[in-house]
Amino acid sequence: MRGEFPVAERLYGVLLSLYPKEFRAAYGQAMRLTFRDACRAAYARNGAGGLLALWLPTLLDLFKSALEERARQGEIMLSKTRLIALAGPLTVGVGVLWVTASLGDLAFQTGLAQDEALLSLITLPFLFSFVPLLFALIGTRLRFHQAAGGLGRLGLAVSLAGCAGLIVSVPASLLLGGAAPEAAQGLWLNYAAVVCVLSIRIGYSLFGVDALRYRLLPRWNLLPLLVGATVVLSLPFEWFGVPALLPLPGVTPFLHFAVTGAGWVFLGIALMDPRPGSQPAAAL
Amino acid sequence: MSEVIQKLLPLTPTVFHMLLALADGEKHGYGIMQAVAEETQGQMQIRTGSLYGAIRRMLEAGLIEETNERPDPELDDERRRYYGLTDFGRRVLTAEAARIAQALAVIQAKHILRGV
Repeated sequence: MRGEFPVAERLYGVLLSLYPKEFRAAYGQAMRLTFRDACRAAYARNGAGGLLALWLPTLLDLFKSALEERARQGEIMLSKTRLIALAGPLTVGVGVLWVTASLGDLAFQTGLAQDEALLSLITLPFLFSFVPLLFALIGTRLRFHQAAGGLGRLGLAVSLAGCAGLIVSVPASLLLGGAAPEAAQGLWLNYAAVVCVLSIRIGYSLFGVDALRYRLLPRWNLLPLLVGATVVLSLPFEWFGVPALLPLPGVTPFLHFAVTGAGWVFLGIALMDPRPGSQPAAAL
Repeated sequence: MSEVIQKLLPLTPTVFHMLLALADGEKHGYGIMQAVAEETQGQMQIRTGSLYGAIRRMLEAGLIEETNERPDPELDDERRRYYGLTDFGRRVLTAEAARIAQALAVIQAKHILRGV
C-alpha cells in the first residue's frame, strides 16, 4: 500500500488551526510530518484499522493540547478550576438548546409551523450545542477524574471524543466525502454524526453507572444514565420489526430531544453544586 | 546551579522519558515518540500534540535544543527538525535518575516487588 495519506494529512493540517498562530508557525510543519510518520507506522502495523485507532487518541490529544497552548498564551483564561465551574452552566445551556429544538421540532411535526426555514432554525441550536457540550464535558471530566472509577473515566473520555468528533465531522465529511463516489458523498456526514452522537450517549451511560455506584454528584445521580439512555428514543424501532413507541409520528423525536434536554438542564443544576458527592469508602 | 535543578524535580513522566529518549543521541519528533514507546514497553504513548507542547516547554527551560542536523534529502524529509539534550538537560536527567534510583533502593530494601 501507499505510504501517503493525503486526506488524513490534510485533515490534520486543518485541525492544527486550533492551535495559536505562533505555536502553529513554530511547530505546525513538524507536527504534520510527525503525524504522517505515525499514520505510516499505524497502517504498516494494523492496516486501515490501525489508522482509525490512531485518530481517536490523536483527536483527544489535539484538542487538549490546543486548549493548553491557547490558555498559556492568555487567549483563553481557562484554568482547571474555571472549567470545572463552567461545566454546570454550560450543561444547562446545552439542555436549554435541546429543549428549544424539541419545541421547534414539535411545532414543525404537528403542522403548527410549516416554514422550511424554521427547520433550519431548529437544527442550528442543536448543531451549536455540541461546542458548549465539549467544554462542559472537559469540566466534568476534570472534576470527576479522581473520584470516578475506570468505567466513569472511560465514559467521559468516550463522550468527549464523540463530541469532538461531531464538531470536526463536518469538515471531515467534506474532505472524506470528496474522495468518495458521488452517490455516497452525502452519507459520510450522516455516518460520522451517528457514530459520534452514539459515542456521547454511551459515554454518559458509562459515567452514569459510576455516578450511581460511587454517588459522584451531590444529588440526582441517576441523571447521567438517563441522559445516556434517552438515545433509545431516537432509534428507528421499525428497523427491528418493533412498532414505534408512540402512535403519533414525530412525537418520538420530540420526546428524545425534550427528555434529553431536560436531563441536561437538571444535570447542569446538579453540577453547579460545588459540594463533592457523598463518596462511600468503596470509591477510594 | 544544583538549586535550579532541584526546583525542576520531580520531572513529569513525559519530560523524563523524552529526556531519556534523547540521552543516546539527537532525534526528530517521531523518533522521540518511538523511543519513548519502546523504552516503556508501550506503557507510555506520547501523541503529536502533547509531544510538541512538551518540546516547546523543554526548549524554553533550556533542557533541549534544536540541532542543525538535517537528514539527507534523498533518504528522508529535509524539513524534519532534530532535537538534542543540552548540558543542563543532561544534568537535570542525571539528577532525576539519581532520585529514582534512590527510591528504587528503598523499594528493594522493603521487598515491595517480591512476587511481582
